[in-house]
Amino acid sequence: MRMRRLILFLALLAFIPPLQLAGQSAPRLRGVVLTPEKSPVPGVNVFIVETLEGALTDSVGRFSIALSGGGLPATLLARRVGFRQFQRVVTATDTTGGVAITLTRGATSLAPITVQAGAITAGNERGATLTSLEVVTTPGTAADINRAIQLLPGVQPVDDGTALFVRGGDYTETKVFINEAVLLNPAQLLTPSGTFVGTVDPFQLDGIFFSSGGFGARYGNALSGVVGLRTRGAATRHAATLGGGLAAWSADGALRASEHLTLRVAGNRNDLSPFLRLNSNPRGFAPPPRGRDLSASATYTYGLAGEVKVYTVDQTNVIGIPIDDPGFRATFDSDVASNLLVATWKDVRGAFAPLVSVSRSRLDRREGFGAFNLNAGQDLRTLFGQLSWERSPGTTLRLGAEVEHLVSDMRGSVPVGDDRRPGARTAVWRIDRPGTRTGAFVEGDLQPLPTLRIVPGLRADRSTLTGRTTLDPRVNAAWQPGGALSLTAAWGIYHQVPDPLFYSDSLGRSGLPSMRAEQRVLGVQWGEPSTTLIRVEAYEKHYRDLSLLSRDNLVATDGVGRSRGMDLFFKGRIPGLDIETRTTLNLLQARRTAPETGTTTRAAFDVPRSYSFIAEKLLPRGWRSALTWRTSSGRPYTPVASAAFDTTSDIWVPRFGVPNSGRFPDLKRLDLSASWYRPLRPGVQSVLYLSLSNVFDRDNTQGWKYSDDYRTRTPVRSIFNRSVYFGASLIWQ
Amino acid sequence: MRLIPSLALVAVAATSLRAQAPAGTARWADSIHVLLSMDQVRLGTDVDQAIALAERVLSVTPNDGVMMHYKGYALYTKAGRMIGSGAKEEEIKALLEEADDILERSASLVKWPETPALRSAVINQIIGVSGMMAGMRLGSTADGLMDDAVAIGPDNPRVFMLRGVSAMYKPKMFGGGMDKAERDLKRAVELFANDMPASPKPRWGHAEAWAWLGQVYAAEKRVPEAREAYARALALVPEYGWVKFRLLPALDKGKS
Repeated sequence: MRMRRLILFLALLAFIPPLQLAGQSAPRLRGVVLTPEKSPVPGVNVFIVETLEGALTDSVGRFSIALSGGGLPATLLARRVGFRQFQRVVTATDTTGGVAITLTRGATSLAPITVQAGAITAGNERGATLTSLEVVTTPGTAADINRAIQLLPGVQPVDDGTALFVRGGDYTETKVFINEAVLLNPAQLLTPSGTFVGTVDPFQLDGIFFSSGGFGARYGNALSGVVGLRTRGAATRHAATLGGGLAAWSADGALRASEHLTLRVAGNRNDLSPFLRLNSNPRGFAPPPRGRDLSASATYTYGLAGEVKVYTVDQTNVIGIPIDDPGFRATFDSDVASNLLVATWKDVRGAFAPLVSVSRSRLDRREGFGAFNLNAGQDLRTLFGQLSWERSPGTTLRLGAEVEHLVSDMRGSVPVGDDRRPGARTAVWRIDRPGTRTGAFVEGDLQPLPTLRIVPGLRADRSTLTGRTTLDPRVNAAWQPGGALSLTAAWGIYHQVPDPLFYSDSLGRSGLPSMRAEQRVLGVQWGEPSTTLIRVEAYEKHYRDLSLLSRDNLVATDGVGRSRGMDLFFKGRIPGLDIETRTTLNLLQARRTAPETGTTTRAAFDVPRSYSFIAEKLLPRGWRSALTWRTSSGRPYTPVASAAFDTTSDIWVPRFGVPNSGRFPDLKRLDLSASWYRPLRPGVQSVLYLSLSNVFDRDNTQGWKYSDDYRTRTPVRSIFNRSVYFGASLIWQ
Repeated sequence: MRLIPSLALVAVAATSLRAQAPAGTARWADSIHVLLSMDQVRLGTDVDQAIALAERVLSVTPNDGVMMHYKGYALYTKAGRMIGSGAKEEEIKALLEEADDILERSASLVKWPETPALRSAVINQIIGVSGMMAGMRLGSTADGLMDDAVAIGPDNPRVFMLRGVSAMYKPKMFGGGMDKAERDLKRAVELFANDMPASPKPRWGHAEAWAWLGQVYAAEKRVPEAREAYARALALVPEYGWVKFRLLPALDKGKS
């Protein structure tokens, strides 16, 4: 034993310079580290930059450094997480008098501030507000990304659909990007009361960014909100999943072809027929919603941060929904096919981070109801490039440009007047005009102080459809005065080119200008996303140059609008019960020009109050249970004031009251879910899940069904009656 | 009394660290190795000194992948010490997440099998403190990293040691279990016999491997084998505080 100790002793001696063994005492630099209030700061790393000699402060803030490695003067540095870095030159006199260091609270050096007004992130990266799993397992969302986003602050539940109505804006004002490419159809299976499902399989995503306003200059052609989706990239090992449920089957696989290359494929097939047979078919869907999607991706990674990713998805969806219109009954039919191919390249080369995305997407829509008929084909090609330059810590400059070329070939017929029956008089229209929008932006990302982040930016866009150039200055700021508190603010001008359909001479006119919004956001946030987080934001938006489609399918121009409100988001755990909760409260007042009258009135999507509460608890033996409770004001509608019989067309013609002066009853809904996670053998796991939607079977009126003479009306209930869903997944990884 | 010469030795070694001039990554890696060796003896704040030293070096050479590895290892060591000590879950998780971040960066700069193995161990600890949902989310990443580590270091004792330790805490149905832990840890101690990496390559783990193997035996009530394994650990690090003051007394009391 003694011999071993001797060996260890000799081994350690190898690290000791000869001078030390000779017993010479080196000069020492002593000192103390205090806060401005004179409290000692323990655990501070105090060191000489030139030699790296240093020490940690003790419990009373004292330190002592032996200066044997170099002469004085030298640079002394003191660092500790939660405090601003201290630096000064020390000279020989400091070795006698000692050094007093005052550390002020704040971020060490320039820890990046990630808080942004209006923004919520979901993903597996740290700092994300929600994990991907939290999003896709929210009860009542049917693992649909759009439905999950609807439960985030700033999104109003306007109808049964998956469209995103953000802070008093129409759903067409929120753009969805996938791997930086614009998605032509962010919602699928169109019905008159909303879209049925979102576009993207949530299990193929590993990051979601949602901004309900105040977003930066990188995003163009969006008035209200943006959703950024990032598909999964490199896998750490081969994996596969097989899933089956009451209305859908899915399979996906990841092949780690090499250390640098991952290939993924996924397929989904959904058909609500068995679901509707089990739970009843409240709207008499014929055919019931059904569709399929196939996606594939290849991700090549290299170096420190280099990645090339190619992603493609191909989808089809059909739905038929009977509608009782006074005077006739018909089915609204929708048949949609779409595909997308997007390639992205990103890298970090020293201080520069390039990002390039190129995409092509195609959307074909066929819709018909009575005299209304639409055949639309859209082909979109985009090129986006951005270069970030981190000039110094806390100073990043971003330059970017994009080109979008949209070819719309739309043709169809819309009823003229009140007769919407098949064979009624229609206006036939066609538009096949291509539109190109080019945009460029410059944005700074500055941290002039460790606690302050300012993101000023300017973007310019020009569209061949509008024939004009728009300039959008924007600024976003976050200040972290101390602790977990952040104050945020944003202001900006936003433009969006109207729907190409509006440039048809039979519906609208050529040369419509870009629609414009001015947004102001003010917020406060406290806490950490991984534990407890509370966020309150107030906002105001002013719209002008709006192009709006009237009930008679005519485009009204020069519309104005205003929305103001506040949203609150709380995420935290109920102490003692280990229940994770999320609470969202949205307050809104939205007014817009009514295209039928030209007066400014309640917007069609003005939902003054909405509230959602999500609770989730992990139980023993792999069980997990969750609930979502949501309540909101009903959306506005335009009431029928009276009706007169038109002998020429042999129908009753309604006379409408003040636009959007009626309001549907409040909506209330409780959804429950439970899942059981069970590993079967090493590398193979199973998940069984069961959900019960609209537990109290509330009607949640979405419309009125009128009698032929409009004298009586009956409510049209939500498509979500009380319903059960179950399924299972097998996971190999 | 036996502790006195070791503490004297530690004091001398600590003095040497203060006196050391910056002479390249290998010297700093050696210094951190010494600090962590001292930490095994004293179970004190030497691990903090090791982290602080790594931070100092990284403040001057921020892209030093070797130093990132050592900082990650020191953070993992500290977090491991805090687990079960009554420390706040958030603090442990913050340390582990910092370790994961820096080891990920290190792995892109230095191709050592120990780095993905350590990352895998760190992620398994994150799962341990975060719960089942984290396991569903991160489990395959941890397993994939360990597969990578074995692929690039099929004869690396530290990789097998870390895989064995993970197997101890992982339920059988997730691919863990004491039998697998024992197999990997035995393989590790065999490989350690001929393990002579040159600085700055990692050199840690030999005594720990015996200590972990002893714990596997202790958990299976194989007391004589456990005692022998602890003795082998103490033969390598005579004042190994963890073995001497925690594991052996626990064995004597009949606790695993």
